Amino acid sequence: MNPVVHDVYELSLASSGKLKLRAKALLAEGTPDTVFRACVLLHEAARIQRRALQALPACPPVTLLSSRVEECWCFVEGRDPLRAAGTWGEMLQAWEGVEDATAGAILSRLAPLFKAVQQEFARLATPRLIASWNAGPGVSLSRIEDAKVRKDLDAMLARFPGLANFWAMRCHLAERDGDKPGAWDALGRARQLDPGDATLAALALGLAPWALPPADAEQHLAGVRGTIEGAAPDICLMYALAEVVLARGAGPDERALRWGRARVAAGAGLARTNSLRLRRYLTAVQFLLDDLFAGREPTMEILYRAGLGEAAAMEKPDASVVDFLTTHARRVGPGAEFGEAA
Amino acid sequence: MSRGTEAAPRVIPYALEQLFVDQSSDWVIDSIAPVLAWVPVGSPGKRQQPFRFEVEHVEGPVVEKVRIDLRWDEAALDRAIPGVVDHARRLHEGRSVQREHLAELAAYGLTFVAISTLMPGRRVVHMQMGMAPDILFDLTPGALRGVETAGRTSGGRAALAAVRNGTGTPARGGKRAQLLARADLAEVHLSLWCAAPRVSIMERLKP
Repeated sequence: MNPVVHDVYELSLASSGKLKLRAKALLAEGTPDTVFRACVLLHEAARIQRRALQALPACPPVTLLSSRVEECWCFVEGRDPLRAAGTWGEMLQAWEGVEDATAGAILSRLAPLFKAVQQEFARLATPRLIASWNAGPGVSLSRIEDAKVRKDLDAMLARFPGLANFWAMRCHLAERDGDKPGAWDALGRARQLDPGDATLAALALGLAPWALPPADAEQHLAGVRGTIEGAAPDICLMYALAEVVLARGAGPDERALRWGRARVAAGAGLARTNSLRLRRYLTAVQFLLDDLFAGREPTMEILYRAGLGEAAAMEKPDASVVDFLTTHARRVGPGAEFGEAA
Repeated sequence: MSRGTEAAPRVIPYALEQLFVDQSSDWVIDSIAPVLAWVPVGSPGKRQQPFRFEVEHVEGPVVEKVRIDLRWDEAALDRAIPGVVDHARRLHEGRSVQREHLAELAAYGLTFVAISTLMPGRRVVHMQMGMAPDILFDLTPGALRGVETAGRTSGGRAALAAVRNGTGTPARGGKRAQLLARADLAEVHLSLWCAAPRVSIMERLKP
C-alpha cells in the first residue's frame, strides 16, 4: 500500500479504535449515564470506521467485510439495533468475494451478539409503540393509550439508549406534555447520537425558541446562522421560523434584523427544496415576512395563498399564523424532503 | 525450553507506569484502572504488590514459563491518569459494574504489558472489537498482524484452554481454530488471562 494512503487509513482507524476502547471502559462502569456516553462514542466510532475505507483507492473484499462487521458491532454495543440491522444488511452484501471459512471466522463474534440484540428489540417493540412511531408526532391518543406508549418507550430506551429516533419520539411526547427540559434533553440525546442528521437539527431549531430561555435560544440559532446558505431546506424553514418567533419579544431594530435573516433563510430553502410540502411552508414564511415588513398583521389568508388551504381550514380563522406555522412545521417540516423523496 | 520440562520460570519485573513509554498513552489510559481492579485488596485496603502472573509463552513447539511481576507507583499513575486509583476502587466494588467488560479491559491492559515485555519494540496501532484480533500492530489490508485477547475472572488454565480450543465434543468455538481459518491474517497471537488463579497463555498462532 502507498505509504501516504496507509497513514491516512491507519490514523482514521486508530481514532475509531480509541473511541471504542473508551466506550468499553464506560460500559464497564454500567450506570445509565456512562452507558449513554458509551453509545455516543460508539456511534462516532462507526462513522469513522466507514470514512476510513474511503482512504483506500482499492478495498479488498475481506477488508470491506471486516469494516462492516466492526461498524455493525459498534451499533450493537452502542445499543442501536436499527442501525445495526442496516449495517448487517450491507455486511451480507460484502460477504460476496470472501472465502467462506474466513468470512465465517470474521463473523463468529458478532453474529450471536447481533441475533440476541435483534430478539430483544423485537420483544420491546410492542405493536402500540410501533403504531405510534409510524403515526408520527402529530397523532393524538387517549390519555390511557398515551401512558402505555410512554411506558413502552421508556422500556425501549432503558435497554437501547442508542436509538436516536426513539429519543426524538420521546421529545415529541414531552413537548405534548409541555415538558420543556424533558423535550430538549431528549432531542439533545438524539443529536449527540447522530449529529449529522439534518432532520434532528431542524427539529432542534423548531424547539429552541419554545424550550429554551431567549438568550439560550439565540445562542442555539447563532450556532446555525453561518451555515444557512448551504443548509438543508428543512433546516432553513425551521431557522426562519425560529427567528420570527424570537423577533416577537425584541425591540424594533432587532426585530427587523431577525426578519431579514428569516427572509434570507426562507429564500435559501426555496432555492434548494424538491419537496412540494416544504415549498408551501417556505412560501408561507415569505408571505408572512412581507406582511411583517409592511407593518400589516399577518392573517390566515397567507396560508391559502401558499397552498396550505386544507390545513388552514382546520384552524380557527383568528388563530395566530406564526403559531400555526411553527406548530405545523415542527410536525411536517423536518424530514419532509427525505420523506417525499422516499 | 521444550514442552513438558519443569524449570524455574523467567521472571520479568514490570512497572505499570512503563506502559506509557512502551505504548501510546491513548491505548493505555483506559486499561490501567481495570488491571488495578483485578488486584486483590489486602488490609488495610492496600492493593498487594507484586501482582504476579504465571505465563505460558508458546512459540511453535517451544513453551517457556514466564512470571510477570507487576508493580506500580500509585502517585505516578494518578499523575498520568488523574483519578485512576479511585476509578479502580469503584470498578472493584461497584454494584453496577459490568464484569464481562471489566475482564476484557483488564485483559487488554495485561496484553499491552505482555506485548511490551515478550515482543519488545512492537507498538499497538489499532484496536477492533467486533472481530478478532482485538489488538493490531499492522493494518495492511488482507495481511493484518495482531493479538487476540480474552480475560476470565476464574477457572485458571482450564478456562483459558476452553477459550483457546473451544468446548464440547468435537470442540467448537475455540479462538485458535477461528484465527487459523482466517486468510487475512499474516501474523496473530493469542493472549489469555485469568484473575484467579493468576495464569496466562501467550501463544503465537501465525506464522
